[in-house]
Amino acid sequence: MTGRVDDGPVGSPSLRAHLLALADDEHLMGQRHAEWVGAGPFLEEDLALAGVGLDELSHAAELYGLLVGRSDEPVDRLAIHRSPEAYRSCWLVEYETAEWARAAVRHWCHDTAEQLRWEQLTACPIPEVAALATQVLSEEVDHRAHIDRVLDVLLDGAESRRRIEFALAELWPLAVGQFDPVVEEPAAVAEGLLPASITSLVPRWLVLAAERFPTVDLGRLEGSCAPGQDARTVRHCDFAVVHRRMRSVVDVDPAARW
Amino acid sequence: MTIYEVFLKRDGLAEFRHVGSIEAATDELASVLARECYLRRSEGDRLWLVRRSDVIDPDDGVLFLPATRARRLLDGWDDPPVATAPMPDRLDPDRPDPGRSDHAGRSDDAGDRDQASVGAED
Amino acid sequence: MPRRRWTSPGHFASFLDAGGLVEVDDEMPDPYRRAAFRLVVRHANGELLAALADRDWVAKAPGLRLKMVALARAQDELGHARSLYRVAADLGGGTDGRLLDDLVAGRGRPAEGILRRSGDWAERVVVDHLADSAALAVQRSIATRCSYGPYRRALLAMLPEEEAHVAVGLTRLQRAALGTPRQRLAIQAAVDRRWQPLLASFGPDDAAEDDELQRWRLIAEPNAAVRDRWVAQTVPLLDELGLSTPERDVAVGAEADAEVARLIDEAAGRRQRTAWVRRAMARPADPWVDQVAPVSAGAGAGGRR
Repeated sequence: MTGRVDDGPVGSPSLRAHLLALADDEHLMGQRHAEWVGAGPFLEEDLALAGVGLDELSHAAELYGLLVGRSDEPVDRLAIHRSPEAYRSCWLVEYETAEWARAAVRHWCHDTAEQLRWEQLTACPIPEVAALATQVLSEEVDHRAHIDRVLDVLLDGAESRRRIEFALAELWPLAVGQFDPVVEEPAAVAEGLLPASITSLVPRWLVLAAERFPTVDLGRLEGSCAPGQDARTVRHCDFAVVHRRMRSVVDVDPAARW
Repeated sequence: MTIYEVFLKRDGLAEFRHVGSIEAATDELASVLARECYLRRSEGDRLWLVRRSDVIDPDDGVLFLPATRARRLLDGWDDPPVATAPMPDRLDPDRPDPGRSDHAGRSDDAGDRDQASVGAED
Repeated sequence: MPRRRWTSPGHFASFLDAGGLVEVDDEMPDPYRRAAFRLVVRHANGELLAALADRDWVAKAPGLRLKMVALARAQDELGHARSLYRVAADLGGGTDGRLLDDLVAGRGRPAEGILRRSGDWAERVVVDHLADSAALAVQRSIATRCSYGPYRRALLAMLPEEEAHVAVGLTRLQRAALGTPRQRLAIQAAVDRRWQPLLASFGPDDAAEDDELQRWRLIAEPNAAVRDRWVAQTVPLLDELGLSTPERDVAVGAEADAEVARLIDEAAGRRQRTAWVRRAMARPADPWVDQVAPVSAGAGAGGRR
């Protein structure tokens, strides 16, 4: 459901569906990172996570803009005014947590996976898409640097490593679920707009994960991709709450322009 | 955790400037965290982090020019070498009268360091 | 080693009266240190609570761009809190972490008027502009004269960000006040509800405390003077938008205090759950985790943010 307003450079319905999924992931991830403002372990860390969140929201806005043009109104219709079943986000970003270990692990899992997903798009024949991918990748370097330096310290201590590894095991199915493609994806690959299915990125991502978490037996975790996510058509149980939150203001006075 | 003092340099001829401090577990983490704390709006193009414990903080004797050594000031070269009669025509009219003994060699506390007072050398 | 010391209270007073700036490594009189510490911590706490409240509106903001603005503001406020806690930590010999612990333990809570979570989006719009312009008025006043150098420099560094917040807030307020009939009503209702808390955010007319801060040249003028100037400048601005302000004697509800308490309790809960991160980041010989510092933020409500 990409809407019928075609004001962006992307005409292919299959690529539109693919980009919408990426946009929804960025949108909800940015929003989740924002929840940690003033709630994380120390203020420098909260500032860093807020910065990452702001970047992700901005990447979402740019992606929605590729689909419906850059002005606020159509972007907001797409970003906020859809019904839950029209979203194409993955469960990892819909999932709500009050545990900072999970937030940190999710940060790493999301940023490494999206790096691979964006790298695919640098080869896209639509110049606007390729240009955005290049821009985003240059910003993502900082996100990786941030969470990697944090994990360097946390994986060095016994208690903190145990907590991080525990969070990784819990989130693993959702993390692998990031590579769950939309049903339209095969058409985008056939049209030459996407080099390959995003599921083909999993082995490369597993290498990154093995380097990052050398003491975890990933083999034991593998293969458990978010059951029930169903090509991103089914929402995680935490989505309803966040969706209500997102609608709480716009539903009061739909005609209002704020 | 270590406290680091943070210095930023804007582009061009600007000098490094102290902008605050940051607490972090490692040098590497301090570097990435300083970015969002001090550089998120491109406030500089160079960054120095110095461990606070490594800052050398010399005492006042190094810092302050005693009034008697005003000859070292760029505009102090023409001062009379010894305490003699003042030569008002060769002195900056804004300066205190160097001939007055209560100015010369005055020791100051309270940060009231009047570097402009021209002292006579004994 | 202290950089400077003053031989008598009189010397220190005349140093301050002459416009002298006190620095962190000066041997300042204890009452001065305590007063500066309280002033800075209260401001820091106010910034932190503002960040917490802004954060809660990121998901609710009626537009993706508005989400980004809310998050950017929250990040700035967090940044202000962070740099102020560092100034306070250096004054008190403690750490940022301990000061946060003080806050969650109920010490050094800021005035009730600064919080912003309640109400609807219209109230956000009103508070975004007016609370920030009120804060800016206080900060400008302190930044022009404060005798404590590190605090004054921190203020000067954050003023451009505060000014940008006020400016973007005004644009949003104008748009909403001239929006749909429902928006206009909501905005007026929000002004009616928030006016008294806004006035309270300048702090109580506590002559004794103002006198002390003024005597130490930490503030240039009493709370009431800054507040009255802000009112004189703000009422015509609202008037231009067709908005009226309520009588000044409307009482502040206990609702506001309850909200501060809720924000802080929530922060306390989250803070406790991340103690393991701080343990992991502390070095074995590091006193950072449970350092006892000589100065306490003190109890009770204070005025400044």
